[in-house]
Amino acid sequence: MTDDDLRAALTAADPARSTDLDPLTSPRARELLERAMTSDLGTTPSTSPHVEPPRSRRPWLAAAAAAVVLTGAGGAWLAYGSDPADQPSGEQLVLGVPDGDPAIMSCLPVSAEVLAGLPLAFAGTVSSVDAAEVRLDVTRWYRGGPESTVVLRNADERLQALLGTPDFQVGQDYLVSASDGSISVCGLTGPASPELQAAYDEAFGGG
Amino acid sequence: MEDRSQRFEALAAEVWEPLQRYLRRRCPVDVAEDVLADVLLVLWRRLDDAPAGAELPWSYAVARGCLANARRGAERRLSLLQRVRRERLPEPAVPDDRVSAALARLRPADAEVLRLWAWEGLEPRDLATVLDCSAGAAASRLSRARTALREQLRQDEGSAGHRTSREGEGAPR
Repeated sequence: MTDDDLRAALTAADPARSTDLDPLTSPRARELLERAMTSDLGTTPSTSPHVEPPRSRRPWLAAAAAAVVLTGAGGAWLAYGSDPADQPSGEQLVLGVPDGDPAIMSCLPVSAEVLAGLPLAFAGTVSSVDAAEVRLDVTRWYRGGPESTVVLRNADERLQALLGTPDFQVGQDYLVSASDGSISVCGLTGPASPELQAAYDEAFGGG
Repeated sequence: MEDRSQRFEALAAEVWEPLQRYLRRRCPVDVAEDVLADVLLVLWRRLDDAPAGAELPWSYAVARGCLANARRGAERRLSLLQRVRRERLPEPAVPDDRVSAALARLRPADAEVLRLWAWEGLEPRDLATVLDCSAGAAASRLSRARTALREQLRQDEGSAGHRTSREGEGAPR
């Protein structure tokens, strides 16, 4: 089967091949476009990804920094405090634990596809754990960076309550991903098991 | 702001229909509608980041991120019972069972690169934009995915050749 044959077979299986779409001139399209254009340019919706432009890693730094600067602006995802000491330096990035009621949380299987949508990911070794803070020495940035240390704030009882979030142990290696200033849970962040490592490699390895 | 609105309208004219298809291919219609609204918000806010000449693949990358966020949001809303059952989001209905079934058995990353190639019609350079990797890496991921799909289809043909079906039994399996 040639590449063309394969592409044709896939095209035949395209679920949107004959889907009726709203034209750009439809009332719904106009409403959505107007809503976007009248939205506040200074904030980021909770569903906004920090998508990296092709082949450039610097904008991620800006995105991560912006997320921290926005602390206190009311974003439910920004779980860290507004203490100036929380601001990231060139060497330290601060992340929080996502808001959310553990009783109604749910998870899909961990997959490279889900991981690949996350703007921050790194491998690190836990250097300290105290009542409300976990520090990790970064050993490899998959996406984002280049801070050498990541501090996870609010990692106390809520971390335990968020099912699927790992219990951090000093000296252990972890794979950590994050979006909107909060680490991802549901098994997407966890001890560096071969399975999770394979998922990270697939999602961020670039080949 | 006038200029920005015009630039956004021009971008929307290019990406509106492709983005609708992209989302319809990957999630239920109601979810696609919500995610499309999110994508447009992000495109408006990040308009200055749109790479000239690669606006569509860049918009796919934005949609990919929004969809991933929507999936995570959906995960959070599902019940603990569903968490235990670890249900996947429903796959969109597809008309060609043999190919779609083979696609579903591939690794998710392989299946997605094939969808982007065949359904969105992206070549490695634009695939690289969506997948956030080099063009060389995108080409090699595409090649690997094609090989995996061919292998799946070959296995299906092999097993179909050995399968016997008798009249009155209905469809196999």
